[in-house]
Amino acid sequence: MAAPKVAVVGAGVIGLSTALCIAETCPSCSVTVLSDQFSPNTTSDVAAGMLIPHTYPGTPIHVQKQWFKETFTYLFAISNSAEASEAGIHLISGWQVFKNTPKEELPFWSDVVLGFRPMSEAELQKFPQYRFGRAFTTLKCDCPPYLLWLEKRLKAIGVQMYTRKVADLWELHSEYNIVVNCAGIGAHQLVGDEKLFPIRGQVLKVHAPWVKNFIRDGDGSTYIYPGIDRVTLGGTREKDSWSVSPDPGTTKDIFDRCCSLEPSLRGAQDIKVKVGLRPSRWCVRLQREVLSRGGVKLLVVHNYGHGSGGFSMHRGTAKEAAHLVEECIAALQGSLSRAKL
Amino acid sequence: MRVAVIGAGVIGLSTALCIHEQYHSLVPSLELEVYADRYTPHTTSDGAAGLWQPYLSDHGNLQETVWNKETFDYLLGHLGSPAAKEMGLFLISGYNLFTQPVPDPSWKNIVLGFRNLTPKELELFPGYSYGWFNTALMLELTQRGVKFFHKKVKSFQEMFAQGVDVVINCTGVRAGELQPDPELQPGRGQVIKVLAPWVKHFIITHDIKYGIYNSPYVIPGSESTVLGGIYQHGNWSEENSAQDHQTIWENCCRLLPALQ
Repeated sequence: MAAPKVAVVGAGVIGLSTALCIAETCPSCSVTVLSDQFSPNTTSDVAAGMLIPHTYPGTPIHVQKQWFKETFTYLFAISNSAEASEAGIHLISGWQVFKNTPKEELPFWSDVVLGFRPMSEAELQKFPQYRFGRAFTTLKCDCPPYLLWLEKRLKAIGVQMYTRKVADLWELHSEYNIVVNCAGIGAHQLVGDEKLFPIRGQVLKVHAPWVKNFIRDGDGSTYIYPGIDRVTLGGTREKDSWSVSPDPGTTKDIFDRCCSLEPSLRGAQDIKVKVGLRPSRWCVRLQREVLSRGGVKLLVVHNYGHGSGGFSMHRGTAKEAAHLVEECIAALQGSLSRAKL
Repeated sequence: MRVAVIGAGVIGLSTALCIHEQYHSLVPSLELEVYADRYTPHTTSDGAAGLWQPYLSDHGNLQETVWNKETFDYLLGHLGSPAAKEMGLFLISGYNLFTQPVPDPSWKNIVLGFRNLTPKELELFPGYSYGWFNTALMLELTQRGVKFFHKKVKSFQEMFAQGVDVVINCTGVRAGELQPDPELQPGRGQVIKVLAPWVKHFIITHDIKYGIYNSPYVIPGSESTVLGGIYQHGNWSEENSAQDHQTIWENCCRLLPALQ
């Protein structure tokens, strides 16, 4: 067949990294990214981009660990190269602190991040309300830089990107052989997935360049993540809330909680407020699907529903999605040869 | 009671501050004065990155280790306070790198979370096979809190003749001008300050062959990042050396390719 035409719907971290993986594994493919939003207006742009995984209840742990490891290794190499600052990738050390001792012995990712160990008594003194903690070094992907870097790499290998709202995957069947659905929270409407729900997150992005370490409350409610130019202060986890407007009461609450973890934040300047809807699901939907309508087939690969773990898992799931695309191509070529017989 | 502190670098100013804190209510007639021919940003301290880290070995001088601990604990205690912002005080984590195993430093229990580097971490730094990770403090002193005089003091006598009762000599590298001290020598350093806000850790390399601070280091501040690695014993030149600039830049870029 002529070069397979692949459309990737969505241009957040999942869409762009998936498009890149597909283009890398299938150089003969023609890959196009379609999205109604590009950086700086995607959900990914709101996220801090910290590589600290969240556990999906419906995905086997060894699979999640594989995804995280792939992602960490990939980004680690970039952080150690001359491209690091353009790509927005940097190492960051810090602490995860707990008011109550965590139930699990060690998180599945403790041997993937660097230098993971319990905090010393002296370190815990900085957090008087907390009884236990863990110190480690991980990676952070700053957005927009990371997304813009992905876009640049895509353009360099001939991937086209168009602003277009896709309301129905069937719109694409005449122009493309395979559609890859990386629509994130948009999949709720795009493919009618009732199992996908938003977990609303409000964050503050502030100027506080003296904060060099991350701090995270182990319950996930409060976190301080220093980025290249701004520190992300968070946050909220509001299940089923679809509101993208910042709430002033919430802003004050986030600020106060973060200041009690790191008092020097009282001096933070230029506070910007952002809201993102985490595309949450029991498990990441990473699978092939063949849609049928009136005798016509549309091959789809889904890669969405990463919830709080988009950055942590993006490269691993993108590679798996690229494999699924290869399977689709094989299936198409198979049916073509059968047709020729 | 007139007390004159000579010198307005980190030692002069912090000494003046300590004296003020401890004595201003006990000695109502206390008049504290700071004399210096150079103030920030022209002191030696302004060239420093401001990282709290003593030399690797205390050479058995335990009193110094006690002073180091007092300093660190004092600063740590101020971390959550409003004064911290004025002092430019914040926590910073980072790496000390070596080409061979070395004994732990005397300050290992003073800093926070001191540990050896894991093999994976060492992958970040080709050429280095051993290292430490710890969390320490940065001090970007900007505050001035005492009455001061912009003046070059030529002798202690000059001060006493003016009616000063106590002189505190914090003249740093040029103390020899007031009282000869052959043991005091300049250790010339040159640095490059760059904008590299993605660097969140200090990285200090050590080469036993070349001596302390003659090996590249990267220390991120709150506004700029200091690149260094020059230590020339006995060199009084305050001019930038193009060759040193080149050395620092090449070595630091090799250490951290992202700097390019």
